[in-house]
Amino acid sequence: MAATYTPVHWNRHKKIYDLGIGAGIALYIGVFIAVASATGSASANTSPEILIISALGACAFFMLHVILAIGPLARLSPAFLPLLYNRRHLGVSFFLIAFSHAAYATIWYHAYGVLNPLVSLFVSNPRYDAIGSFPFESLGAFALLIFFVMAATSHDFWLNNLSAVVWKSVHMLIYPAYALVVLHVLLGAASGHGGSALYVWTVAAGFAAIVTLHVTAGVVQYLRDKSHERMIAVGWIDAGPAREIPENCARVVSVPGGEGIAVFRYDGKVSAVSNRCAHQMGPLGEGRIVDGCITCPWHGWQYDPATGRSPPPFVEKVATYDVRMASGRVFVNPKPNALGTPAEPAKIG
Amino acid sequence: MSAREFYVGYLSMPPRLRWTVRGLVLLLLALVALDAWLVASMQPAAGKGTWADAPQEYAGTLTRRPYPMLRVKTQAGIKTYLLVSDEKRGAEAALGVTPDGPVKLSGFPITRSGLGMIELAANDVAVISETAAIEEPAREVHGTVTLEGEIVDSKCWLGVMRPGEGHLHKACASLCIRGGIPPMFVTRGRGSDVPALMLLTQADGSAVPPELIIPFVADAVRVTGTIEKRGDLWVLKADLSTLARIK
Repeated sequence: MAATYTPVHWNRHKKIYDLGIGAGIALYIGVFIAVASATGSASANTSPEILIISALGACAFFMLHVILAIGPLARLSPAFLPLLYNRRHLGVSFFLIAFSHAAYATIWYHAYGVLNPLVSLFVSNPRYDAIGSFPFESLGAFALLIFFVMAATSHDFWLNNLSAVVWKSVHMLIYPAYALVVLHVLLGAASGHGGSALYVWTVAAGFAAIVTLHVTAGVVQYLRDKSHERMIAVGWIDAGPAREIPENCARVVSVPGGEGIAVFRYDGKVSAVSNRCAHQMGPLGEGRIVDGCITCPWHGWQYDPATGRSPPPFVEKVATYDVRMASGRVFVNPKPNALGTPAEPAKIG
Repeated sequence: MSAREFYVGYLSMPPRLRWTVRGLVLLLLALVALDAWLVASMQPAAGKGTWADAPQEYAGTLTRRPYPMLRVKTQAGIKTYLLVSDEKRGAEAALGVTPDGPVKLSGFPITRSGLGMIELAANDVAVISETAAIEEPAREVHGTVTLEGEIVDSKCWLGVMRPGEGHLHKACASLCIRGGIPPMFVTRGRGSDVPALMLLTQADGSAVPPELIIPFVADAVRVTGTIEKRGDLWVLKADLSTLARIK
């Protein structure tokens, strides 16, 4: 978290993360070129330009799968949270690799002719009415446009100015963009030169892995929410025995039709805040109390549990909820207070 | 990661989590190498075409119809080279008003499957008046056949793009043929008596107007035509009204 905007708030973890991204990209492209151009292989005589275009495209496609897998994996196990922390840099790196693939392919296949390369990209293959010969390049171009918008807004400046909800909506476009890229690969590289069944199965396996991870994370989250739903007649929510909440941790309770509420236990008392971080709507209830502040598991943004406000000089706020204790159980008023409104913590008997 | 450990990006990583993350990163790098190896091993065959880096000098007889060609005397006999310009353009503009007959020129040789092409190095094709022209070889008609195969642009297929055929290369092939590169027909599943590679012309032997074949370029097609051998060059004089996709 930061009180001012700078291009990157570097820390040790981010530097190591970025070195890892660079090493992964170098490894992918190095192995790809070495294998595809190996003496004796059918592709050994491939033009160097086509080899690089293919390597960049395959590398970008793999990176997109990693990016899409990190989110649900982090929901399933906190061990993946360090991979989520700097996913933004992975996203921008992916865009640069995908853009390089697109730019190089456009120059190599569409420049130096009698048409403008960007016109040729869409008209040189006119078979929009056919599946087998469909101009797959256009699908990649539209996906790249979405990735550009996402990469260009991958900064807290845009997050704050667009609002978390709008920003998140824009970045959810990664799913239609992923669908476009899957079709781009299936109708392009996977079906080129007579097609390869193994290539199609490889793409299908990646797609199935992403779908399975998202569905599993969704089901697990649903079951968590379901198990915490304990409504009582007077309208307050029974969040269960306070002593069952681990010290400095939270239990998340759900409000039908509303957002989740994170009930934290700390220093012999409990407080409740919205489960959505003001930064990227991360799950605050999966965070901890660190240095007296609720700390988001995604990017470490912090809030005072009693006020829902970030410690000065930071200015972020989340909604608080009124809490009370009865017979050792925590009850939460499901009506949220205004963002950053102090709510008296309830003392545990 | 133990139950009590909690990760915050800007703080030191908890010790047990550190080992878990190292393991995950190693696993991810192994996946990186595995995917790169798998996808690279599925790359299509590139053919054995070549495209020389250095220009060579040629002296021979220029013929501009149906497509610009140069016949050159070699120790092995008369060799026919197709002529193209740089980029994705045919040689017509570079040849200007140069008439059929003896010329000198320089260019980059492109070769595949015994067929040669010259990419003109510059617009400096010089007429040689003191040399006798090499006569056009006799035309041997090898009958009318219906063939299955693919229309390719000769420049890419012969060696400039490797691979230079199929769906991935469709847009480029269309652009090349639109720019005047001679189209060729590559047969598939051919019998031993049918050549694999033939220059494509209309039924009357004239150059194919690009707009007639561009929608079919790089697709699997069937066409009926007459096969003709002109020296070392095979020509398919195609009845383009029979041109149709086969899948």
